[in-house]
Amino acid sequence: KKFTKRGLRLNILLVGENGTGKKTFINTLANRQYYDPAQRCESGNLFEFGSKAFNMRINTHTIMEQNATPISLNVSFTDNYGFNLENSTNSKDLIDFIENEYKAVLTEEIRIERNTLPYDSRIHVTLYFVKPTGKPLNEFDITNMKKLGERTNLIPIISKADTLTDSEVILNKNLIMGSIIDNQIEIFDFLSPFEHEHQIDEEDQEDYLYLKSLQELMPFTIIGSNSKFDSQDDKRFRVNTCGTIDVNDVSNCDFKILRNVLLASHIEEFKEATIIKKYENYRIEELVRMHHQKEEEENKPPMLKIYQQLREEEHQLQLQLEQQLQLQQLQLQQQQQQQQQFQQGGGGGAATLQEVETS
Amino acid sequence: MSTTVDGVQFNQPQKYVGFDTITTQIENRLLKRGFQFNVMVVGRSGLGKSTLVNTLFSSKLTESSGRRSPTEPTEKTTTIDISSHTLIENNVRLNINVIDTPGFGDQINNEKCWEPLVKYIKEQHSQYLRKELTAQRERYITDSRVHCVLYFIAPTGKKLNQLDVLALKKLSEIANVVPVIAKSDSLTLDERAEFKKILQNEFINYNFNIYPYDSEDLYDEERQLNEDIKSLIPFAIAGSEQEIEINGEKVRGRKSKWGAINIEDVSQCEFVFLRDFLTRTHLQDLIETTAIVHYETFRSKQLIALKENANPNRQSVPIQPQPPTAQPSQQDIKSSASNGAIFPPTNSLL
Repeated sequence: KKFTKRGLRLNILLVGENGTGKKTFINTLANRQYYDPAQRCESGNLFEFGSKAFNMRINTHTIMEQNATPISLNVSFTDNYGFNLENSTNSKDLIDFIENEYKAVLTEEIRIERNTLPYDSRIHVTLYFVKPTGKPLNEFDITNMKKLGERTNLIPIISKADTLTDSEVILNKNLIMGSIIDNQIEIFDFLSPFEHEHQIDEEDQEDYLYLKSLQELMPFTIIGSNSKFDSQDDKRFRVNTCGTIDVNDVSNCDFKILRNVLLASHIEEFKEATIIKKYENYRIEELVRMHHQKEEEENKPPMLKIYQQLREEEHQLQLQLEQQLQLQQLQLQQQQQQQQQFQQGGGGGAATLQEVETS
Repeated sequence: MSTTVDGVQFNQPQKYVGFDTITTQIENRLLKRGFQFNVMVVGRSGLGKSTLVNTLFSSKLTESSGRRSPTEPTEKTTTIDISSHTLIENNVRLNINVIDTPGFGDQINNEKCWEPLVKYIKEQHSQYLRKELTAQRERYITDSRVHCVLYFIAPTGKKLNQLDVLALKKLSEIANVVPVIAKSDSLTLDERAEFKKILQNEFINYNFNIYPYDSEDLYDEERQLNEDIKSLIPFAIAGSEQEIEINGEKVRGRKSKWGAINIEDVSQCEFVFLRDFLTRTHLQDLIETTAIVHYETFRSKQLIALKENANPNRQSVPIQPQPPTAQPSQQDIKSSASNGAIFPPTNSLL
């Protein structure tokens, strides 16, 4: 009941190169045309990285279905990921984005007086959009997925799966999973509730089989559609040169299954896994790092410390001086303006004198 | 009887002489020799390059050089992979060299990944020039120059990324580039039309020199054909080496649960246009343009550089700014000389 009152919330990160169908996926997921893929996304918050290699767009949408709790979906997706000639900074930028949220929570946590019900903007699940090339993962995807898998619940997706025939889908899934295993990329484990159990009870059989089938389906194949939607009709179709595809038909692609996972069966799972595993790992690493930094500070030779302190003070003084200079200049300008106005007309003069007195 | 066309006077002999059979005589000669066609395929891994080449010539010319298992190591740089075949059709022999470029665009850092391609193209020009200038040269020099570069663009529906822009620019300066939209069967017809418009605008904005080129000695109908081709470029293609059944007929195509595509159906993809363009209308022009435009540009730069090197009194300091003249500036010569133009020392040639 608490949940239904507050509504459910899920923070998703979509990572993929331009044109892999991220916006279309959201449109299809929510069954609303939130984005026009033909236009660059101008809405929502823009998060720019220092390296300026690519950006993040962040938006919140409410998904309302009949007889179900409304879900507040906070979507972040990449813009110009992998676009440049040289993309080696992309992985650091992605991790910085995720750790940014973790850091905010950590800083809040270690405060003496803290906000106990903070607004959780940590990423709960990351969907990585792989292009349907029919080949194993390339260097770029492997490097970035490896880094992502350490910090967030990672689910690989083959987007635009209507490019592939049935046999090509099977081949592609095998090749991608092979790449993932070979490179020890950590993807979300649907079977983690059962990881410590040697025997599955009767009552858990169904759950176990469902989770096992999910795990074996990965990477999920997705076909998205921007077709005009009719509010009565749930159907979404994609009409490409081969024919008409019902995206919700599980024999065509795994979209419906993924939708169910994201919006129904695994919302709490993802959040829990983020808090208990991913955030905890980050927290431990960060606290250890901070501890080492502190130790380093304390162990520094005293001369070095004094020198650094002096430099700091010098820097502060300089800043102060500059500020004072600026202030003086401003005052000078104002005085000059005053004089001019005074000379031009008596009426204005009194007003400006008043202004100076009050400021 | 005489006629005047374009100011040139033509006289028709009073009795039939028979020199009009020279075309057949030439044909017989050429048939004996066979033709040479060298095509380079460029694009990231997984865009269907090998499949398309095999589909175009309806023969197994090349194996995909992509990785087939995740344990295979990835290419660290762009490499050049040549496979040669001889095809024969109605007594006409065509020697084809398919130049594959595995590793192109597949790294995290793709800076200068087109350089091995540019180097290869210039090397072929250089080899040909050397053979031409040898005192005792072969009667028919084997032509290994790249006649056509098929550039594969991924069907993202968005603007070209940095790599495509730079590579297309560099390649279209030295060879005939024909851009194609790979795996276009994943786009809807609307998406395809939109995408083409975006790409065509990009080609104009970046000033790419895309084949076919305008020329003064084209007939009106040829010019019209070129205009039609230009409005179609980049060709939206799909390739297939397999035969499927559609309506009881066996055709080359791709079949999925929701339908099938016959690649030879022009309402579904533009494969037929590309094939006709490359093999039925512009094959000779591609070979000729490589010789009379790209090779000539290379040749003149090299020979001028040669003269410069031979004349020691001429200063080799770059002169700036250089007004646009027919002769390339000092800088051009310096750059072309250092850009993989392997040229033997002057003494052996003069």
